[in-house]
Amino acid sequence: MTTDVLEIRDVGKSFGAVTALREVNLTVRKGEIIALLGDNGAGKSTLMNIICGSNPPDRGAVMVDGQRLDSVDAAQRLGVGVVYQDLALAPHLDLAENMFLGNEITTGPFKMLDRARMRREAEEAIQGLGISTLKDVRLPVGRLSGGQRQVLAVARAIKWASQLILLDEPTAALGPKQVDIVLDSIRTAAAQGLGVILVSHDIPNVLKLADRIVILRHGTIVADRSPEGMTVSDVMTVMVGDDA
Amino acid sequence: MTTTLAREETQAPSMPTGLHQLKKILSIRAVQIILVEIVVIAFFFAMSPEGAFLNAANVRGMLLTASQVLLLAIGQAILMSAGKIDISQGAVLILASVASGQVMVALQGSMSPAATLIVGLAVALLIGAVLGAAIGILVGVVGINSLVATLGMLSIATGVAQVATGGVNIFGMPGELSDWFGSVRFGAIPLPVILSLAVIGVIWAVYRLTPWGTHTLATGSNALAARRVGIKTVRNTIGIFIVSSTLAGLAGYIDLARYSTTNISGHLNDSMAAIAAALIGGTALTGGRISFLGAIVGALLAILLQSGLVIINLSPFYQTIAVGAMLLIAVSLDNANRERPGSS
Repeated sequence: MTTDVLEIRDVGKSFGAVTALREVNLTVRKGEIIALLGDNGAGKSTLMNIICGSNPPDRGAVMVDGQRLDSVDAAQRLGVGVVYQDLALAPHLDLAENMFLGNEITTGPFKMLDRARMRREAEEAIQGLGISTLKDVRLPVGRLSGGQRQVLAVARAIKWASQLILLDEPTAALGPKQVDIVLDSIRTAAAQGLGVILVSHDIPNVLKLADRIVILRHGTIVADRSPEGMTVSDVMTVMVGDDA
Repeated sequence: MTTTLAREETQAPSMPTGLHQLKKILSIRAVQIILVEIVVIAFFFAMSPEGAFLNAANVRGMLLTASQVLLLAIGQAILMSAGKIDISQGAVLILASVASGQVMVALQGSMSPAATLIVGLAVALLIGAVLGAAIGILVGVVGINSLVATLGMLSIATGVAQVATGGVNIFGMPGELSDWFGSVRFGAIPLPVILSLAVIGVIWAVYRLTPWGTHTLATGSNALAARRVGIKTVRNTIGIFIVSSTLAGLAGYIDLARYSTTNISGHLNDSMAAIAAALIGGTALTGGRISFLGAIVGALLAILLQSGLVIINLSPFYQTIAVGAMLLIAVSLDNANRERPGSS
């Protein structure tokens, strides 16, 4: 029985004459944290968009739990959660409403919102991740700090993901304490059996967190290895290659 | 229908609970407007000859006007909560009343009065729904800004109504339209008012109690986020324009029932009044926040001012100045409180 939650086979993507990705092969196992690194223009965003279904590949295939992922709907159906860099939160809605946005719990023949249950489950999801910074699920998200919003976005992705979560720069613009909270949440998600793909420029923390680092350069994977023994300088050298 | 407040805010330890509750209630926009309206009513009652402002006929007239304006204001508030706007409501109202009126005039005598009235109502609602769907497609699918799309529809609907009537109002409605609907009262309350409030109640319940309202607010709060979590924002956009324009169609039918004629030049400013009512009531033009009660009392404020000024023998033109001033005060207060987003 395979423990792979994600398999990327010979994926390629071009935009006009520009080849953004070529012959990308990658697998992610249950509970594994993969850091996807690369310089600007290396193809990280393109690969992320392909994995979250918003931009299907020209060649190859993305398989989650043995099924093809080729759209945002398929990604949601297959249990892929995404934390976008802009977080995709609605500031006027409260924490519980954001947690369940698009997945509201309804009851009865008229599909009435079960707000009490959504609030209770939102609290449980947040507490389950050991997050103490989000105490009131009825607080509008517009009143949260940047760090609290980031944690909420991570908690939401974890709640709805059953196979894999993708995180795009989850620690950008956060203070050290908030970074720790987010990293702890990611570790908890992995411990629960989710595969994790993390795109980040925060290399020191990535080296502490990731089980594997995958480095993209010019649209192809140039390194896929354990971070053990690697320094920030080593990673930078592989990222920029001969361009430095 | 009260604004969502943070739990922390409702439990400030330094303030006695009763005083804090009072402060919380007074901070609700709809309550503030109701207090202003009590002052306005008291003023016009005192100033009008023999208290004519609150006599049965004047109250009934104000309520009948409200039966139409409230429908438009609620439609506008829903659109605004999604970050959209509709300046064609008045034109849709006119075209719906013209089409409905022409059909009823043509059908009367060939079918029962009740069937004629029902077909007339269906035509008014259908015209509204079709025009709303057209606007929704232009905004949601084609990607035209809602102000521009409805500016175009304002012109088209007005023009079609004028072409269809030759610029002359339609007379000769079935007498039952007024006898069975427009002039019917239950106690002091006209039937069109009861119908409007019932429709608004149903819409409020669906908006507040089902995911539709949350998805609409999310679309207005952050459209990209709404799409990314899988909300069908295009479908939602088309849906809310259909609701708004269908409400305008219903207002057109009520207009016919009240006056037994069309009023093809009398409603072109209705959209602006509805937008002002929703804004005064605390609905955000930029989306993400709605107050049904605020839109209702905001619309009533304009009606009270207009009627009161006429009764005390002042030019009703002052009403437009007063509503404009209220609008600017309300929006200024909104800007001051901008760090407190929330829905109601």
